[in-house]
Amino acid sequence: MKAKGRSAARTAAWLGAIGSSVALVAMGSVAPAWASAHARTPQSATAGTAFPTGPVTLTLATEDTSKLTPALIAGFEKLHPNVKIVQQTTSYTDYLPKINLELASSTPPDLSEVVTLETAVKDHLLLNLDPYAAQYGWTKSISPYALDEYRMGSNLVAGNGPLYAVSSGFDLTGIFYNKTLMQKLGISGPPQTLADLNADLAKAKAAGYTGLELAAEDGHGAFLVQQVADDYSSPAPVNNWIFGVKGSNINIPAVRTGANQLATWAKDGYINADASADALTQAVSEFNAGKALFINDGNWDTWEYQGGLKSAVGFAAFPAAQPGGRYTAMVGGTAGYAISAKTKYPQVAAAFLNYSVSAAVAPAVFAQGNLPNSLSGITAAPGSLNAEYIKAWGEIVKSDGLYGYFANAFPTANTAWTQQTEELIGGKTTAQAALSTVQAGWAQAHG
Amino acid sequence: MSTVLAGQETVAATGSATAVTQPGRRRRLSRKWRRALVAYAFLLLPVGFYAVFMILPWIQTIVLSFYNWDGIGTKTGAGFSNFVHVFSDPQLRVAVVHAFELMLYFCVIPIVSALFLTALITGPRRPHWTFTRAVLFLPQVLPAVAVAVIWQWMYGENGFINQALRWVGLGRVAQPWLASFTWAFPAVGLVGSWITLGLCLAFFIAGAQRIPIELYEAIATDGGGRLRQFRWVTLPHLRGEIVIAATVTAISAMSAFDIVFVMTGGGPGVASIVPGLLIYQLAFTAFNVGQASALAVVLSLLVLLVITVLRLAGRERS
Repeated sequence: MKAKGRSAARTAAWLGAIGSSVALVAMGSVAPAWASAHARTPQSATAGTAFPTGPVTLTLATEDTSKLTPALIAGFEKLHPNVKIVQQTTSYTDYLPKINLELASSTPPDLSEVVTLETAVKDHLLLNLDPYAAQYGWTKSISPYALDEYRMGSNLVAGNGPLYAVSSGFDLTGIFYNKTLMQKLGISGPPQTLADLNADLAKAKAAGYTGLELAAEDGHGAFLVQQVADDYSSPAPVNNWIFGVKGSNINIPAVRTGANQLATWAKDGYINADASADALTQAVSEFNAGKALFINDGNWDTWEYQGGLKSAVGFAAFPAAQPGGRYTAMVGGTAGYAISAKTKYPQVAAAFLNYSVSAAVAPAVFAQGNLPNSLSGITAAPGSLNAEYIKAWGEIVKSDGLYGYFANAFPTANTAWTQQTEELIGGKTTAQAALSTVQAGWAQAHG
Repeated sequence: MSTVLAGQETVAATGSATAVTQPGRRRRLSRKWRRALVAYAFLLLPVGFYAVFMILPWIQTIVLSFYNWDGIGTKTGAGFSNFVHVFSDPQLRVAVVHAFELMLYFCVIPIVSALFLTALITGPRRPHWTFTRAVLFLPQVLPAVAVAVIWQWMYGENGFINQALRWVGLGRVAQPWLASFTWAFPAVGLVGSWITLGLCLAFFIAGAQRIPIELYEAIATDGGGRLRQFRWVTLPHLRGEIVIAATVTAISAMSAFDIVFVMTGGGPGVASIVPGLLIYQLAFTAFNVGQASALAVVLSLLVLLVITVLRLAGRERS
């Protein structure tokens, strides 16, 4: 009886074992249950359709956790009391895997934030907004740089082709600094050149502080590589690479300089020791706790810094390569929204987009720490982060220093950059090898 | 008595002449069929679930591995190209080596530790250790993601482990464990050991409780100590349970995903990358369902290979 019992238990274990292994392979096959394969023709909007007067409910999917999107929705609902927009917010990590599947489902969100366009454009999930751009005059009121990011042709190269989204304003990267700590270390102001920055980092280290707080686990190692690289490269080669233009290569001297600089900062102990296990939220709270002199981040974290360091936080454009050099920044649309190809109310969704890019909402957009599409008539309190954003923006535009993000170059770019920059920080690879690996990923995606 | 009654009821219900003329034969057939029907009825639900949620997706995964597909649009035939890509991916080699290394943490360490604990509570005297057993089994019933988040904090620069090291004067050793190329992988592995220890212990204690106490007394009478009792009584009797524990934990090691995804995301670099994570990245970041399926098929074959080896190794010699 005992032997029989044991044998039965063993059989059960084998069944369980096979079951578990099957469950594992099933991971790769969940997608078919969610979405069926359809080959559809591209959809384009019919502009000028009458705005409905009856109750309308739209859903809006986003990964934007700031107060910007709710503010835009509230403003639009006030303007159109018959319209209700339901915001569905998902974390960035979860948003990417699910949004295209949701758009392909029978109940897609009417409006959705664009993070990557390739799959959605390839599978005709989004509405071509060119007719609305003409109707509302977006091509005149919004800079071509801001629109190019959301254009994509059938060759899946960004920068040209139909428009699929618009954004209420810009993200802007640079360095946030701790004014109190700066004073304590005898530093008179934010660094103007990379040499100034290195001198400040050495002072911070000598006093027992982290020079640059870095969230490499969340891909911000690529931010530092790019900030330095952009100082040494004109925008065209970098932006072409990000847009997926055939024949582009990221393994160029300017980017190798950036990669080498990151490795040197890590070797010199200027960045936090836990960078490769540091998420952005953690890095922000360490900086807010006064443990680090600088953090390279974007204006999307305005509220975090203002809430943490209050008036002790400052912002400046990333230092130039040499005195009198160019100021550069990664600049992209803040939560750019697209319209589902299957929406029942394209005209309402387009009206929302038009409201979100209009001059009327510019003060509200700016109040959230984002730069609106037009800065005319915008004022900021002296010494505030917003005032420093405007100052930095002016310097960057004057230098022709607007760049997209390395992490947006292909669907797995963020993973590739995260891995390679962590290897650079750990001294496990060279700039040449790291960039070759990233380029191999790009080539696989863009051919 | 009940058999007779059951037979009579059947006859009455059917009213069959055959049943009346050949009551014995009819009764046997009827009982046989009824028992078979009951057995199939019980089996229907689990087998149905197993087919719909396990076997069909498995077959679908194998089919998808021969296509190029982004999970939404049109599928195009890919031949064996997805498999060629999988085998030429340098990350896969690292990930598979890690999967086997994880077996040390998910399988070997917990089994050896659980055997040691079992040895302490078997023998002529058998303490119950209910509380200890419950505490050790607890990680099994906690959601893996919650467990991973807690351990992530504990391994942090100012987490519990570094604080404890500083308290005992080992501050020099303290470091951000999950950011270290040397320590991130063992740190994640040890969380796996912590999770599976309780499961192994539950298997072994259940097995050990069936061992007749007289066997231990016999060895004690012959002058044998605890070590001999363990070697000659406990260990041979737990052979089956050890094989089962090894199988279940080896599968957990090979298919590890959740704790790695949450704690390190496979980093720093690819220092803790595992096949499960690569499958996820291929399917849900790269939207390359074909390659993800090909890798899943390769991994499932590896899992089957491992459990077959374990089964052969654990087979009792007749």
